[in-house]
Amino acid sequence: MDSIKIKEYKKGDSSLNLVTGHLKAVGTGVKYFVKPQRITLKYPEESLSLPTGYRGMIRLYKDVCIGCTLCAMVCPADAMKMATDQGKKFPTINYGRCVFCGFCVDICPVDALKETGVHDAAFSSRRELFFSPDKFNQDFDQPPVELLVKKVKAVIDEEKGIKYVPDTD
Amino acid sequence: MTDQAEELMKSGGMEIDVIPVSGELNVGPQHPGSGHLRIYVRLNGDIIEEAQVEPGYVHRAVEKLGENRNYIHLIPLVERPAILDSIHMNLGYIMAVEKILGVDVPDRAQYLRSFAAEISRIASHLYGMGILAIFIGHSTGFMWGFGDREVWVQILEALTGARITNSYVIPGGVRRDLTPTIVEMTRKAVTYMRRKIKDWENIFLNNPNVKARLQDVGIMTREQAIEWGAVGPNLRGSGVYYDVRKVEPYAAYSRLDFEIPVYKEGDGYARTLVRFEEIQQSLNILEQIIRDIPEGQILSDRFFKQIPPTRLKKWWEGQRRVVMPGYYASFRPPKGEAVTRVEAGRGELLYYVVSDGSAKPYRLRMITPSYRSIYVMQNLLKGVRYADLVSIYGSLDYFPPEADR
Repeated sequence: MDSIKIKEYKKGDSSLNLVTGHLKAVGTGVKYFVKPQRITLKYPEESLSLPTGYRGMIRLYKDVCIGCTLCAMVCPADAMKMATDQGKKFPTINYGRCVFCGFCVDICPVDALKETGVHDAAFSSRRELFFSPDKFNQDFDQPPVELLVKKVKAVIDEEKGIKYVPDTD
Repeated sequence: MTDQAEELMKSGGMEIDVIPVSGELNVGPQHPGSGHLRIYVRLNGDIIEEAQVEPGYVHRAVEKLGENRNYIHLIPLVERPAILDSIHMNLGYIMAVEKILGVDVPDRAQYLRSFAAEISRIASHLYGMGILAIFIGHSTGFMWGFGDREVWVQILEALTGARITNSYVIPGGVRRDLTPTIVEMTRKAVTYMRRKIKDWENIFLNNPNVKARLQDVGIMTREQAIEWGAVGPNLRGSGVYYDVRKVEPYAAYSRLDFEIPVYKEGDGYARTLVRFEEIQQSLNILEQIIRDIPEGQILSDRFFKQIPPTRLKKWWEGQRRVVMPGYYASFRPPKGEAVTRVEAGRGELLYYVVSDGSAKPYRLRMITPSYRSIYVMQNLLKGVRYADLVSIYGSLDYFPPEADR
């Protein structure tokens, strides 16, 4: 174990220190007032594209699935359950329960499940949250129809923390 | 001009007649600031005679639920109590399961665990400082805390695939590897944070208003801290050199060079300084990890061999992430028990897991750092001004869901 150093801070500022302390605090505030460091994302005019491997909504490839039930077994929230469709077992998912841990995608031995990176789906009723194998088999990756939406991605900047730059690809 | 109340008024302003009116007040449970906790306060004038801290409003019975679920199902569950520090919650539990299973973790995975854990610690401390700032009326600190936290959350998102509930650590290793993009992001984030810390000092730490609210408030002596069972930065703010990362190194901490900041005073300001310097130490650790991380596997050989070769080619060689072998779905560890400790953002986190040989743990016990703060807070609140309640609450960095579990 390395040497133990117990520090103490200086108590009781002098009047001068008090004045400079206040001035520095206000000065820093003014600095950020003049050069603001906003990280607001102007949703929905701007929409964030997520990094590769983001654990978003999941989709099923029905033709690949072998019905091994491992995904249903590993699901921590019991969101994924097996249903029989034309004599074959397929997973169904209830997004009302899903916690997006991605265990099912990781455990599928034939890669029949895929994380799509879609995270902003909306549903109008609770029943819609349940995906039967056929519904589950469809793609989420649809480009936004409205032209207003500008795709941006977050990059880490040394000066501003987070910066949103237009996503070109 | 002075900030010493004693100089302005004898006996710190206490000679002003305190009208001996006794009354009771409920602070919370509807959000006294950061969460669901009721503090029942008995007042005399504006002096707190007695405070009863009542947790339990967000109790979710994690321990009991743990007895009805498979080991792997518990990973998302145990991180729910403290989602802002989920890597640590996850890590402690997995370490206990690994002890029972008898699995070795490869070096690279150990470094990656430390990497994720330190990012989680920075994010957790920034959250805590933001909450403390808004408690004492410093809105800028609140915005900055949450804004700067976002930088680290972005790195976690790129690394693990989720912003806060990462589920990153699995028995035998971690799920995803470090990519050059993440290394670059971390380098930039470290530079940014170092720069921003100077502004943090100016606007928050050295701000006389903040000092006036935190210095000499809620003093906990070294003896009291030990007797009341304080943990983490609260303990180290009282002059006790104790950190699980040093005392009982886990992950890659025995190979990393870092200091444990300890302050003697034991007041709210000392606790804040400890957190602040821990962020700086974590930045150093992150740089070391990026530099020293060894090449190799990120999942134990025992599980790695069970992954089908076609999947290995696609995921491990293609995207630098390991996938789970079918073993994980419902594994039965041998009979046994394990106790592990990790230094979470708020302090020592203890897991006790008992296995009876079935697929579900027989008993899961978690003692969270915030739980240990309840008694500390109750004692610290005795005899202070009512206005100091929030600054004591904030300086302890108490997080109700974590305490309630």
